[in-house]
Amino acid sequence: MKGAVPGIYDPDPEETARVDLQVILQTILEAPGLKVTQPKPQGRYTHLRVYADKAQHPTWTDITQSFEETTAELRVARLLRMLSCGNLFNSFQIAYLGILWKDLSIDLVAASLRQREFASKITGENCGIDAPSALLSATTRYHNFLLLMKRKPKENKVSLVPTLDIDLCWHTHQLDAVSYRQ
Amino acid sequence: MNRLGLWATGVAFPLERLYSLIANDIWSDAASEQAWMGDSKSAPYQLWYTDPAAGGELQLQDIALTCPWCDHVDHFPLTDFTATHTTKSASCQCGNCRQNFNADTLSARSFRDDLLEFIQAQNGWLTLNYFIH
Repeated sequence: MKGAVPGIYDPDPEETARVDLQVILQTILEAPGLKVTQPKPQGRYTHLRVYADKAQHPTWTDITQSFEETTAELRVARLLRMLSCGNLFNSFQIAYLGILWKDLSIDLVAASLRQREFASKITGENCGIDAPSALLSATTRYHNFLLLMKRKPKENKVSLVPTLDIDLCWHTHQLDAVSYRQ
Repeated sequence: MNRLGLWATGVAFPLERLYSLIANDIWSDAASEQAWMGDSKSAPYQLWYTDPAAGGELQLQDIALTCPWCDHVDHFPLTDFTATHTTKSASCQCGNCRQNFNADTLSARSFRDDLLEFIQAQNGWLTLNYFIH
């Protein structure tokens, strides 16, 4: 679930993200400050919380409906903007809908197909990326690309697309997960 | 939801060791296979028993899944399980609790279970008074 929440400021990856996630989840489940208009205990909770408690056989149709109800409740309680994580419910849906292995939070079948397509392209005979000089250049360009993404103004919604050589370095760097996170 | 520990152990993809196997024309790492078989006896370590470049054939495995409705680990034929993901009408049934599920209901249940796991956690809830205005 943590992976589903975009925009979490994460200088201390485990602890800060955990705390931020707690704030977000407690807000969307309890909406602190929401005026009680229904009999307790439902009145204390958001629609999503009540649905999660009751639904033994949840479906995404019902969950999506609950997201809409909860969004309206959060808007009334002036909490929607404070979440400040883009379209949070949409992110949850992307991270869960159709995902068969709950600990992975992405569709690894689709992702693997995309990665395989990339791998076949980068390993093509005419690619020429194997030369040490080419890889050294790719490493520098990868670093510059990261710096460019960091500098990119937040209001600029256009995401930058890496080139093949930059992507190769990026994916390789990710394989050393601990070093990559730091 | 809070599955700490995996990354905290410093787990890293052994790229150099994998490269070493390929460079030395070794199909499978014996120590890893031994560890895999000790931990997961029902599933073979390799999808190809021999190097596919040398003619080894792909041997797909059935799916072992913990039913989120009853926590029973059941095995499902790969083709049936795949159909729950690729078609809207197909479903699988847990052999223990007889619950039918497909990708939609399974993932919806996962989301609901993660929310409940958070709700039921006794520690770590924050005071949100500063949120209320």
